[in-house]
Amino acid sequence: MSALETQLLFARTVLLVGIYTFLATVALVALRDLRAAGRETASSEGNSETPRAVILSPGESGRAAGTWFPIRDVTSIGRELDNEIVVQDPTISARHAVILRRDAAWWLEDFGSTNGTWVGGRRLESGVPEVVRSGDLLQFGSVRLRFVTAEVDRERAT
Amino acid sequence: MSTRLTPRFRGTELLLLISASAIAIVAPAPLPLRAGGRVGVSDLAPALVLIGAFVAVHLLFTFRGRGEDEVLAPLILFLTGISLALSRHLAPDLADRQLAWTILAVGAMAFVAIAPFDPRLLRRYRYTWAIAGILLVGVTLVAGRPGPLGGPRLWLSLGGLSFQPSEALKILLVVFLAAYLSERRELLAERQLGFGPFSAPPFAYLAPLGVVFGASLALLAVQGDLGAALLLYAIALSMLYLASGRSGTAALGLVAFALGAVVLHRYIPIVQVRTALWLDPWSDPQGLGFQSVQALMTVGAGGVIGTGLGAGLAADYLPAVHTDFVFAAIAEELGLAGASAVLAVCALLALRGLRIALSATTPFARLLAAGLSTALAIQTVIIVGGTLRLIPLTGITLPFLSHGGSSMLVSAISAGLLLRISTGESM
Repeated sequence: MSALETQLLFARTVLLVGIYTFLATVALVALRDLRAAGRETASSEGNSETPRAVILSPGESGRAAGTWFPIRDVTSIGRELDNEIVVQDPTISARHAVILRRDAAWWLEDFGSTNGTWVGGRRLESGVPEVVRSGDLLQFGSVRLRFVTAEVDRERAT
Repeated sequence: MSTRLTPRFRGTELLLLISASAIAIVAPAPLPLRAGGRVGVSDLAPALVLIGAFVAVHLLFTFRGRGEDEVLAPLILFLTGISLALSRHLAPDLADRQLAWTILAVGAMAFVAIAPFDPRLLRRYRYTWAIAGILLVGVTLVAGRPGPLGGPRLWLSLGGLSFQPSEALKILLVVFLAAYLSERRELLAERQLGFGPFSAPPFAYLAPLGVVFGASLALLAVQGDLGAALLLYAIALSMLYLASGRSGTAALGLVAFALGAVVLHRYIPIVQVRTALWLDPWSDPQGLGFQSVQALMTVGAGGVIGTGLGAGLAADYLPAVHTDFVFAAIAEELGLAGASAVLAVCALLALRGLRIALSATTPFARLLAAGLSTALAIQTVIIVGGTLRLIPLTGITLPFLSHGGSSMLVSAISAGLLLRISTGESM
């Protein structure tokens, strides 16, 4: 075998070994990441269900009663597309209200909306956040939602 | 943006980049050896420039510290590294140009990933993208020209610079559909049991599919661009399925596809030709079946471990080997072993994109990531399947591997968007 052939064979072997090493490393990284993500999901599912706002009466938003929006630590509600919850109903303002999680409680604050934000039939004063609990009836303009978190359900169960 | 960003070490990316760099450096080495010389710096310069670009991106991401996905960039370095090594002997005249396009594409990827524009604009201007896409199709229908290798009139030239509008169309379609469908996701997922007077018509989600179907048909009928038509329709259908989760929709789309295929086969000559060649390319091995037969012979010539990079003969007898048939050249030079590994890397790229989609923070970002990764995967399947005669052959590019500026740029922009979505930025 000539020197050239040896060199070429060497280059070829190194390349194939390199390719498979790379492939194995990437697969390993991806697998580890998937495992970690799997654990995360499993633990969050074990603790509680996603906090949510279930639609009771959809107004003219075009959404169906019974569907729900997930509630995150900061969840704004309004007609504009950059809100977390977008409700295209004429009685809802562009930036209507926000639900916040602070000190292990959920707060609802009205942003000075035209048609108001209501909790259990009482209108919130604009800019003054109030605590909301699981099961509370929230009303934005003419759209009504039920706020549900599993945390309180657990309290009730114990 | 006034937010202070703290550097964040990206160990995984560094490790994978080193591994991919080794491959990019070894790959071009056999070529000068075969020519009877030694491996000099000038032979490795293209690979080094490419690696330099990725190191720059790595450092940029590290110092910005926004936590972009750490696997995508190394995967792309791997693919572009192989592509660059192949281009040195598949199309030596175009190799420098291709290197320039690749570097430009890496820059575009980094720009899309970190530039301080508001990604929500993508969603807000959704109809602008749709109209731009339709205009592109229209302009191509009227003013399209044959590409450098001849064939259908799919190219637009603008002041000496020509590009393939169907590439841009692909990304416009994904962005538009992600915005349109995420906005209507409740409507889509809703189970409609009764057909009351006010039950929402399925029109809202069938409309975009219809439009894409029409545009694909137009592209096909007027220009014979089978590849783009197939790709666009497959993207629209899979995104609709991703958004609605309803297998009925997918089934309906497939039925429409089957009907369309039958009708097209009857009335459009190019479809008949392609189908006949797919079933039996040996009926006309020196004429219409030439490319397909040569591609199969090239793949076969590789055997299990290939002839070695730089030793393939495909450049001499397989037309378009550096663009549409780059997979045949990979199979010849790297063999079954190497070609499977390259395909696995393409699959990992798409999987990584879907993983990014799963952890995306907003419905739009999720659908966008899923759509971009699906588009890359479908494109790979269409051209590799065509090369291997699993499906009728249609000429489109293989993402990150084929020659071609527009293709490289658009694939890189997709990757940039995926990287951006992976930071969890609000979209």
